[in-house]
Amino acid sequence: MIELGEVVVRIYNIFFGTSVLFLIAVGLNLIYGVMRIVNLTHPAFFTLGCYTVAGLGVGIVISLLGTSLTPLLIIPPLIAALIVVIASLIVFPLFIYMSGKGDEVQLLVTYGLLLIFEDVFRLIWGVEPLRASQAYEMAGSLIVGEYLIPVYNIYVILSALILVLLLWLLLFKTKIGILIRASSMDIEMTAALGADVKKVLLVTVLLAGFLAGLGGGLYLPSASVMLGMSVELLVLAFVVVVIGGLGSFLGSFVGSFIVSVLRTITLMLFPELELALIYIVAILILTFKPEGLGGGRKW
Amino acid sequence: MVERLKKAFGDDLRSNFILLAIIAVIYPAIYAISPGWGIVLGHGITWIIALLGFNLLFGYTGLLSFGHALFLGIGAYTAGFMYKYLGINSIELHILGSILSSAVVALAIGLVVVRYTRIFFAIFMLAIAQVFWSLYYKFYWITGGTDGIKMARFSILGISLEHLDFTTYHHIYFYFTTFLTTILIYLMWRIVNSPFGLTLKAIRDNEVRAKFIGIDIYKMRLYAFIISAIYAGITGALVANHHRLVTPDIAYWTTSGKVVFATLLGGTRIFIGPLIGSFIFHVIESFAMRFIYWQLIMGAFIIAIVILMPGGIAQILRTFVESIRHSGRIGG
Amino acid sequence: MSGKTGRRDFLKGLVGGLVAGAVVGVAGTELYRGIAAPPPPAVKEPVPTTPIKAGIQAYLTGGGAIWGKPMMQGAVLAIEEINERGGILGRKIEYVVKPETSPEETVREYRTLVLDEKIDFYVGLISSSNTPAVGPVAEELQKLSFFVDGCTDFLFESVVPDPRFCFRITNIQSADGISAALGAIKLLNLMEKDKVRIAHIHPDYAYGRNAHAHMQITFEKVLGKDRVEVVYEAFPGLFKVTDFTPYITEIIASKPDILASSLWGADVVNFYKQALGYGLFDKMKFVSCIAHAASPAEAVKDFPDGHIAGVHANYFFLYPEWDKYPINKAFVENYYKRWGTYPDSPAEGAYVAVYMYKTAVEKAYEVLGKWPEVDDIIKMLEGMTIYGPAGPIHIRARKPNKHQCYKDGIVGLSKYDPRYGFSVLTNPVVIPISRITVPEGWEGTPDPKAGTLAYSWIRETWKEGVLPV
Repeated sequence: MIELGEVVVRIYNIFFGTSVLFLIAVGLNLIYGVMRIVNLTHPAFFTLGCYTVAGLGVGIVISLLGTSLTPLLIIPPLIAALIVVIASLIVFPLFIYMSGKGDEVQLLVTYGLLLIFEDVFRLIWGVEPLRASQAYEMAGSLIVGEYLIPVYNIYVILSALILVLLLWLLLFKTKIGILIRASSMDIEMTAALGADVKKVLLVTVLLAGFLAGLGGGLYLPSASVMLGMSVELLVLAFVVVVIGGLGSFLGSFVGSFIVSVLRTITLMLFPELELALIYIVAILILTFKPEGLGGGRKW
Repeated sequence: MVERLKKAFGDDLRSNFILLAIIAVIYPAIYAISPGWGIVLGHGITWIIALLGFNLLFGYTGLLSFGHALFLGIGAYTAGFMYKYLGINSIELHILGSILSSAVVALAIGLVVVRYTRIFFAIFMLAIAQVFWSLYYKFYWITGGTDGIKMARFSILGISLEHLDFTTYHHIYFYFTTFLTTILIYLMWRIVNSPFGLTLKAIRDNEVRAKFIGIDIYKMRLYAFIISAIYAGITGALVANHHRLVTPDIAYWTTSGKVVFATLLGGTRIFIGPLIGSFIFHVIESFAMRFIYWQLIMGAFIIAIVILMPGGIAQILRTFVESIRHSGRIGG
Repeated sequence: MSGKTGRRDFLKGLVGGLVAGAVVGVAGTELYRGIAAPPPPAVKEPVPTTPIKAGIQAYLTGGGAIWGKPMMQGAVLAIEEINERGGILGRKIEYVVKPETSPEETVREYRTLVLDEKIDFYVGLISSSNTPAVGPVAEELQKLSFFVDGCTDFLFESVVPDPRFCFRITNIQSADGISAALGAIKLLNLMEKDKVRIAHIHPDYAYGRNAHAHMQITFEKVLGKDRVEVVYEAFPGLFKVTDFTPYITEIIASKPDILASSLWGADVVNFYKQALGYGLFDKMKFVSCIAHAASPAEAVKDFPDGHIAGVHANYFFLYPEWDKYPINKAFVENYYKRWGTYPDSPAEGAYVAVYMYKTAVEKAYEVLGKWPEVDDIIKMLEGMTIYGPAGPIHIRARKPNKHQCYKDGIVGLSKYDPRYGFSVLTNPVVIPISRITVPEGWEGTPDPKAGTLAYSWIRETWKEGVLPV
């Protein structure tokens, strides 16, 4: 007999997992969708977001505003997003170079960048895992039946929801959003119609970086960040993208949700199979529905 | 340009053998000066085989596998299991076993994956390789999990090498592998210059036209996939015996990344590419590993090579050698 | 603050070398206990003046750095202390540091240390995956190697059953799980309960599997098999998971009385921080064999009170009590002065390893009258007992587990201490090592399931329902 509280906690875990994975996967899909670049560097942007919060953001907030909850919730992730946007700007010329080049060039350049980022983290923040769980602890927990659930994670879920909404507005209701979507359908046609494609590409890369940085910034207080995290996240992010559909906005959400559900179910029933199962599902999807479960639509 | 590329596919066999001979001659001296670098050369010679296989798939067939660690893993675990459960430490049998197992696995997987190309093929291979990795990782009772399988020294032609000192043992490993690599280079040369090899190139260059002239693209790709897997499997078995330790690391995606990078470093559309790529890669890796920030060095190398010499080092060397020859001829 | 300064002042008075003096002096007497000291050789050959080279290999990145960094600091402190007092027989010690990573890479770096750096002795390793990989290589390359941790029973039971060149400082891994379980039974009064529901969460590799097996058999033997019920088991990959919330939910849902765990490094930090938010610690007692063992200032900063604080059956800097055991006090203060933090199990282990080498070399020199060959050093090490910061530590000379070091284990309850600003070990229970490890000369076979001698030894020799300590 499963109690109500248990069900609620599990659903809530699934949403938390979905939110975090979505914030990684959506940027990966944006860049693939528009530039046809499989960006192996992307998880490093998420990790950079984590490091920025732990090593810089929280410190700044506490020294300027003291240890109070609201600024700690809002400001560090924004600082993280800003830093990651700057980092994206620095590597942007490489993305221009890569667009239109072969898959192998893209894979190698972005993989090389991933390695460089990992060592830059080490150079700046050292080798030990970093944490900054002040916000997580101060936010406290909520009682659900016999269970407690951390309020901070609810904040992450809500933030992700708001971001989805804003992103949707940006992509569907603004001019640049229309250009981004148009470029993802046919970049040459978009250019022929007089759009500044380079600007579109820049916005795409910065937007992906912004989301990854914000995602990392939001995630960090509930966990910790360590060297090698980008490499661990990379394959997981790809599984999400493959399940949802490569380059699909909706797919990012579907993929994140399915991976989170799978993780919860395997840990409940057969914890030893956790790793294998998500890859097997990815293979099945590639075999039978290579366009992914996101409906195969780009947007 | 076309003429030169065409030449590059075929007539490289002799330069391969010359380079191998040079390395085989200088190896003892290098080992005597620095055993560490001697062992690095051992890695280099071992990896040539897998890179040859990878290059058949990528350079000649146009399929970029981002999961070649799968077959290195199959080869290594075949050797590991043969030792652990059957008590076999004959390196010849390990190699035969890994040829069989990687061919069987490649056939089963290939039936599905060679339907895909480009990024889908790459990711598909990545996902399958990761499944195998997670099985090695999780089936602790069978595979030893991350602790892996420890192996005794191999025996060769039925002769045990347990009593030897490490240096002699490593020399035997090195020359055995050099011998094997020489044979496999020759075989690969025959393969890429056979009608089959030319068909693969035709498919790579223009799939539609190949289909139009009646080539069974699917079957050809499947064959290339299986041969490629066997080559990687052999390297896997050799790596297992070189390290005398098999862990899931060899099947992890970072190993796949190594295969891709080393091959590209050497040059993919050139027969001697894998040989040069393997040595240069291991030298760069060992060199970089001596620094704390070796990933940074490695990453910068990768990007610089891709941008500055997209044809790979072998291509640059070739152009260089030919220009010397050319100018020499004019001068004479 | 004044307390700290006071300790530092006291330390200044000690710089003359109390630590080394005590270690070497007592060790000397221990070494020759029971046998008449041989007459020293008449002529002593001159000792080479070239420096000795030590190789140190430690986790410097990722989730293991919490262990690797103090280990390196412990070794470096010992080397600096020795150099400050003129080295070993006048020879200074130099050192090279290499990273510990996955088994294959670790072996490669080890080979570089031995073959290219030409080190004289080696101090290193934390992971239980790495010692069985490096052990055979150490024997093959014939290099005197002190493994600080990497405590798996397999190393000296099956991988290198008759070692010559490798030694291991930390207590054997089975002792870790057993002492944590015994500590839990004593400190949480589990003997009085009718039924104990147990959940397990351990990292997925040799160490975690081994800790799981030994904690479980100890509970089953001491409490009685039918009083123990396992309600959940999970083995997340080592340093592969940062979000433990799904595990935490499943553990709470299975309603255990105790949660047995050997998560360590970054994993245990992530786990307990996230578990706090879910109220896990109010619903069960957390029995960790290892959480307090390394870098407690970072690893267990705000760890909840009243749970079982395991230190890997090795060392916590408050014990043996400083006033009763000045060696520990001096070590803690020296370490604090050098590194600005308190020492822990890996730091103590690496520190002792370097002094073991020094002691053995000096003793061999006394007997032989010349700088000893590696075989002479090994002869001195075998069977030696020295007094380290954690108390007397003995190197076993005979099988099973030849070259394994033994010292009494300790386990206690966690309690936040405002003086230090992190959770410390209180209510210490000393677990005599001889009561929980396979005795010298015991001729059993390793249990087929768990793979260790200790498991069979408990199964065959312990009485059900009786506390052995």
